[in-house]
Amino acid sequence: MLTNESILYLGSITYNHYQKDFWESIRQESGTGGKFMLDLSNLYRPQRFVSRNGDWSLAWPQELPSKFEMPIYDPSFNKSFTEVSDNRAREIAELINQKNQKFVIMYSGGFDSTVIMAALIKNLTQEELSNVSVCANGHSMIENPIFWKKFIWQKFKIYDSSRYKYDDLIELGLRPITADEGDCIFGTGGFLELQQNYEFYLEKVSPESRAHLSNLKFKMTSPDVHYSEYKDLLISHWSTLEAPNLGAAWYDKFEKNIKTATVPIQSLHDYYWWILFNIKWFSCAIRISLFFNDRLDYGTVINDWAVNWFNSVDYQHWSMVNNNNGEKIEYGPTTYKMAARKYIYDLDKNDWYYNFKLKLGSLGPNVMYHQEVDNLPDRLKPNARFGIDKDYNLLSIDDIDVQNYIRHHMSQFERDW
Amino acid sequence: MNTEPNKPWLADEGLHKTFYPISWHKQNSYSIFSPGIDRFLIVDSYDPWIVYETGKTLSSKISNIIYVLDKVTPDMTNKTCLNFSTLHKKNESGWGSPNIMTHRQSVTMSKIPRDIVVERGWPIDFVSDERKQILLKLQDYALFSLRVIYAITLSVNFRNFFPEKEYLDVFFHNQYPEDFKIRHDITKAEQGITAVIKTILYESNSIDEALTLIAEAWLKYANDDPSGIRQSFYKILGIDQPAELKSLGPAGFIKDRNNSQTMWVV
Repeated sequence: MLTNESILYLGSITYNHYQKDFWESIRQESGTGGKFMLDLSNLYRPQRFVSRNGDWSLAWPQELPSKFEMPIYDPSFNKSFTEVSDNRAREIAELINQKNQKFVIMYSGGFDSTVIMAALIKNLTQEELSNVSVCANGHSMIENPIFWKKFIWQKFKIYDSSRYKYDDLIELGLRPITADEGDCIFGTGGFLELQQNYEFYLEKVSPESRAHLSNLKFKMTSPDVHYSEYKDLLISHWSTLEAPNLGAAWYDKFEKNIKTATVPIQSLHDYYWWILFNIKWFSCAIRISLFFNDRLDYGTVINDWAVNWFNSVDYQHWSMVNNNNGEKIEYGPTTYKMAARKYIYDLDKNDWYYNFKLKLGSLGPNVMYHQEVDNLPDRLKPNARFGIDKDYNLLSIDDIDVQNYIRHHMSQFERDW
Repeated sequence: MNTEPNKPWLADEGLHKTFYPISWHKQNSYSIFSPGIDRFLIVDSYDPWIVYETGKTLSSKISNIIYVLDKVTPDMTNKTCLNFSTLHKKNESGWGSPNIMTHRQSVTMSKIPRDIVVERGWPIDFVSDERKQILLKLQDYALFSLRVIYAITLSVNFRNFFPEKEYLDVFFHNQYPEDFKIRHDITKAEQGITAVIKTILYESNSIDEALTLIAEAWLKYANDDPSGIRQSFYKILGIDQPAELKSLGPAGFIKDRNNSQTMWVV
């Protein structure tokens, strides 16, 4: 039973998207903090930022399952991406050997899920690999065709991700392995989008600032230039036509988070990395369990079945000590996720993938879009899933008690930054 | 960029041009753009659908979009286009656009927004000598692929007198027995010689590897082909047939009269 005192694990704001009239009515009643969250969701939809480190206020009471907490920053951590990935694969091998567990890789053909495949192929025996299947669809094949032809086709049992959701796979006894926090480990598409449209965002800043920022264009990944040098550009990037002051409010709020965080954030790339590594991590970690699963208890799926490949202590340590050294990105998009490129290249020797592959969004267009949802009542359709409370109960935006909960908290949420 | 005489696909001129008289003396109507490099990879003056098919075969190596350009851009040639980009991508949205957040590996065709082509210089991610060479190799391969697809498309469409599969798939869907033996073309390739050659382009790592596999495919699937597709293919590509193919003898009715055991007895 949801009450105003209930604590959430996750809540999604989908202003101007699903339940438009409801969210519009919420806007009329919201405090200044609530209005900020609605505007932010209009730019960065759905808005599900939850902080793992540093100050970040939300409208409702929020907790984080311990499994997804951020490890304490350890500047002495010195394992390479290869060591961490190889070790992660051996953990899977142990579960196969000791418990005869069976796994299915949620494979898109992108860097992160290809790292999983490469790690398992490199480190597991043929017998161990017989406990591993692949869940993919045509998009996965097109995104990384050479890897598919060389390493997957006729070597693994394949499930169609357009037909098999998490619940279907788990009911077959398979533990899904997802790479969904891969972007959080390496950084963010938002940074690449800013880089790609630098001149567009420059048009909105003052002439003096424009001259200064023009000189900084090729220093976005440099540790020698602090992200605050780009303040006007960041405000431009995070503002919208409908909410021209959103960028400034965002800058102040995230600045407060960074200043209270216990991890160093220096370059502009660090800034965008920190958005994903800190406040988007949890949403990325559980979104498939929530939105690609219609029948099974969320707590059971999240805690007992789903394997979040990058949600290991070592991967997170690696991510915190490898900023601005070329491992995450050198400069532009064809160098993004460089450590993953090298790790994959070590197996497939594919020069083209190594040198030219782009990070592509896969979950939405490749998987969620193809979901069969006609058999679900409206309140259970993915767009209606607002989130989960601390007991892993589904909260549907179509339910009146959920709407009342949102209304209560958004109306009381004022800017505190 | 290389313009070696044994690489005729590096020159804009060629036999393929004679099939497009309306485009003679025109320049750079179509292009392949890479959002990752943020540069135009190649430009072409004749056929958007050939460029589109080239983009598809190239997508195993690099995601790209096909731009129909908005005006003549004489400075942007295949020798210079790696220095040209677009101003930004904010006016292009939706899945498949060049915007990094919504770009796809599968190719889309798009009309370029007005007045956004700009000269930016060599792409920053490819300044080192090693990275520069791989980018030039990719461009060479793209131009080669473009010419191969011109060659196979023009040859098959001018010479194929067994195009049953396309007719049955498009005009007779679910209206013929599943076990009908249907041919794409005059060759013995189950999926048709066009698909065989495009797949070779999709999978090969180099021009040399592709040329070898293409020659093997002709030998395997079209060693007694009377149509002349193979000969046309090499002629439009601009290179001689390999000796082993040449030794199969002439094509067309001469060969057919000499060797066929079935066609001319009636």
